[in-house]
Amino acid sequence: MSPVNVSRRRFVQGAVACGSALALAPRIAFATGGSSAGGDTLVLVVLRGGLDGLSAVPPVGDGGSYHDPRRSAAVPEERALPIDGHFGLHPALAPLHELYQDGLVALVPAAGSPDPSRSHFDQQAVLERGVITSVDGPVGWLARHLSAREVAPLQALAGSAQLPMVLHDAQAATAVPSLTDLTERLGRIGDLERGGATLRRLSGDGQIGAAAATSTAASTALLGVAPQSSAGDAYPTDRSLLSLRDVAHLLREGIAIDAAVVDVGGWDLHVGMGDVDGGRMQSRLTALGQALAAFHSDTAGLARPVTTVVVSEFGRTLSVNGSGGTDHGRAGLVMAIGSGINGGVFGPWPGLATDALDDDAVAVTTDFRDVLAEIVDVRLGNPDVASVFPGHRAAPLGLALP
Amino acid sequence: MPEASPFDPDIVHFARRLTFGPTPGLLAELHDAGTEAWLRAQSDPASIDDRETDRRLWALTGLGFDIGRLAPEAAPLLDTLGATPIVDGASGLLATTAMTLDELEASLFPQNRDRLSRVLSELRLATVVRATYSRRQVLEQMVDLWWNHFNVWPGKHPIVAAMMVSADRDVIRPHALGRFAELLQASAASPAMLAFLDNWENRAGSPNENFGRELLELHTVGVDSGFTEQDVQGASRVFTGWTIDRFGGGFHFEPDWHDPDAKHVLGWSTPGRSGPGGVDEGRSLLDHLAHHPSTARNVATRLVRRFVADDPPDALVAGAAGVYSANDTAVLPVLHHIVASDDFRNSAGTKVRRPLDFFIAALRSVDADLGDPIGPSTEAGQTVNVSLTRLGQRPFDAQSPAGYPERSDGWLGAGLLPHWTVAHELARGLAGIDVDLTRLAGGATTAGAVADAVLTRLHATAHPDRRPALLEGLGLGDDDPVQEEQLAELVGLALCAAEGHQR
Repeated sequence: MSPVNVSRRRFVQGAVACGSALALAPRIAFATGGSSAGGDTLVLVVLRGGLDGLSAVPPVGDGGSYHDPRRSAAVPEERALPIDGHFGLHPALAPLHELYQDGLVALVPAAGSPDPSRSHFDQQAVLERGVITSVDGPVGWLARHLSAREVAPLQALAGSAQLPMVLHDAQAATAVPSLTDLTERLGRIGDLERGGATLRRLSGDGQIGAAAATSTAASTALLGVAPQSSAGDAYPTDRSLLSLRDVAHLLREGIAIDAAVVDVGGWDLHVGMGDVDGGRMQSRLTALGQALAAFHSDTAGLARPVTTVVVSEFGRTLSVNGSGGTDHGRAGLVMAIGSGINGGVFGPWPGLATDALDDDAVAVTTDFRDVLAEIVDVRLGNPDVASVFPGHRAAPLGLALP
Repeated sequence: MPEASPFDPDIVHFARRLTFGPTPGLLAELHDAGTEAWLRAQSDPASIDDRETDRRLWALTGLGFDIGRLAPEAAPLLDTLGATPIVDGASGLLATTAMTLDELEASLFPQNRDRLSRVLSELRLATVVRATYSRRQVLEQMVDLWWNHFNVWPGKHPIVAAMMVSADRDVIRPHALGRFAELLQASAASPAMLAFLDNWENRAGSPNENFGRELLELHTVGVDSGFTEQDVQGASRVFTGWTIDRFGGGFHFEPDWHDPDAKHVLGWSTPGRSGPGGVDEGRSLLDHLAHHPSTARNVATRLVRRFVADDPPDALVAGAAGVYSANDTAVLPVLHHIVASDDFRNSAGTKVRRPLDFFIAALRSVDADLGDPIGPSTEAGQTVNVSLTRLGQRPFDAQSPAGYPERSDGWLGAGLLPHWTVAHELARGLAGIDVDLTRLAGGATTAGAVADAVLTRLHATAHPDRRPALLEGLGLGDDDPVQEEQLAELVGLALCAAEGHQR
């Protein structure tokens, strides 16, 4: 079996198919600018609320210690899409399973932070700041990474109206909750070339002036993008996941995006997860799998590779609670997808035996920063991971291809 | 150079912080009364004549909505489900306690789906109308603040959406300027919160920790107070049985679901109670938590962050927390303490308006007319809706129990493109919202005078470079006449000046 070879072949085919789109790129002056040199585009998908890794990548090899406490919410072994003998994928993630078989998906099933808190806010803060205690410089770890790069318009995008903390203090970040909507309305400001300079001046110095400078550059860039999306239409209609389609379009248009962050909510399923065939978990995973696969297909052939990383603030309790849901747990799933990813399952699995659990939750055996640091170093071309994750001694897992 | 602003900078600063934005009328009031007396008057909102705002709300009939009125329509469906009423229950309504959220929804929907959705849209619009026009500005500020402290997201489930009007009208507004301890009790027992944080399914033997955790982490002692997982579990067990009356839609305590064993939470404990009196455990714990020194600090921090600085000065927080504790959790003395501080006075221009603040301040500054009747389906109503969605801060859209962020980092870092488009649409009349541009120019006809008039009308005081920036940006000399189209562009640009973003 040679899944990696298959993925390489696909990559080359994709690159040929996308040649025409790339030929259009030079009409945007900065599109081939310095920022795109070296390193993948990182797309960080943040699943807010705490993804249940035990549903997405069920450890069917754990047998009764997985199935019994999960009751009807368990994914039966015969229904799990096989990956490595011990784990399976939820059948709702079938599109992702194809990518896995192509060797493009790395799964880290017991990743988490060393902070024992089970608070959304604590753990989202750790996940996005990349540190347990305070840190000098930019707040978000992605902002710290970007600070080492040359500034470019649309260098960092957020697919939401608010900037996620991981991008706080980024030198140039822009929120694009809906690309079509934004570009259509930008046209109404009038003469942006003149207006942009005026808006910058009116904004004065300081933080408002800085935001204005980023926004005028971003608006100029956005107005140069073809209004008709060049991305496919296989995306689910979930608004936050549609941001992936916007990012795909911008990348296909040749915009130099170093990082995009897409927030996807709806994972805090304390109540009514449902079972393998239906219910909230099944529908959320279906949408996620479709979006990730569609995005991969739209971006696989681009000259600048794209690495997609999917994270969530924590996993959930092993036992189903009284409401057919699960409560906040500890270790959860981190996924990395892309042509530069070494497919497989990574990190030690602590198992689900009672004494291996952390108060009814999967124990953390891999610091999530080990995954991110390896990608920052190997795929994003920034070896200074000590500045991105200060205080953390990163231990690479081997999931990124050099 | 323009004339120096006719306004006292301290008063302009005060107006920017304590209200949704200065208007000529407000500034005149403040000059006449003085800020202290004005704030005292605001402390008793019922004493302020606000009939003008009430009149604007006349068409929003959903504000009187009560889910209890839908209940009779649910009864036939219960019959088809074969539910058998339990007549010996405390309220006689327990036949339906087995109903899940989805079943409850099915019993109230679909015949009411459109109606409930409209009610929520009307509540959103009413929030904007009140923030824009109400003379009870401090009340509106505090309503916004507490909504973010006790946030509930209606998108969690249609039943939560159906409870929002009641949460606003019966929980947040009556207690917004009162004692925190009472607000906390009202919030914990509110159907919206019970449904949003899943407590309505929290029962002995299968506790649901969602509410217990957020109660400690967000509503009371705060994330940095050092509570433990045991405290979360204890608090969750205390609130077993706090649920929703499936017929009336109000609070219901179900004794059979209540955990009767001993519990310990942050220095509070109970030997355990069973029967209807079990509900008192929760009330007692809420009272304990409301008076906890960490809660005093947490509440004080929130107020200081709103009214003074994103990074609250320690000494001011400590002082404000002391005032909170000394006044039996009353919030107004805390607010007075904060506003009287040097930290407050010295913080002018350092806070950034959140997108909602920017939008409301823009409406106020141009004296926008949202029409009559005001409703979610009118053009102006739709504009309000989509503008706030694009800005990222439509009321009641924050999914997290933590509400919308108070700090500026996340808002400002996202860029200003939505602010700019919304401001220009407003000024160009593309928004279905009437703005009398000529009146904003105050009778001035030459470009320099128009710029002065507009900047003063919009921002009261503006940096001296704004005037030349506007004139040069539009290619106008001081004495040039101003065409209508140029006036619209000038107002749109002026709304986007730094002063439009400063609180």
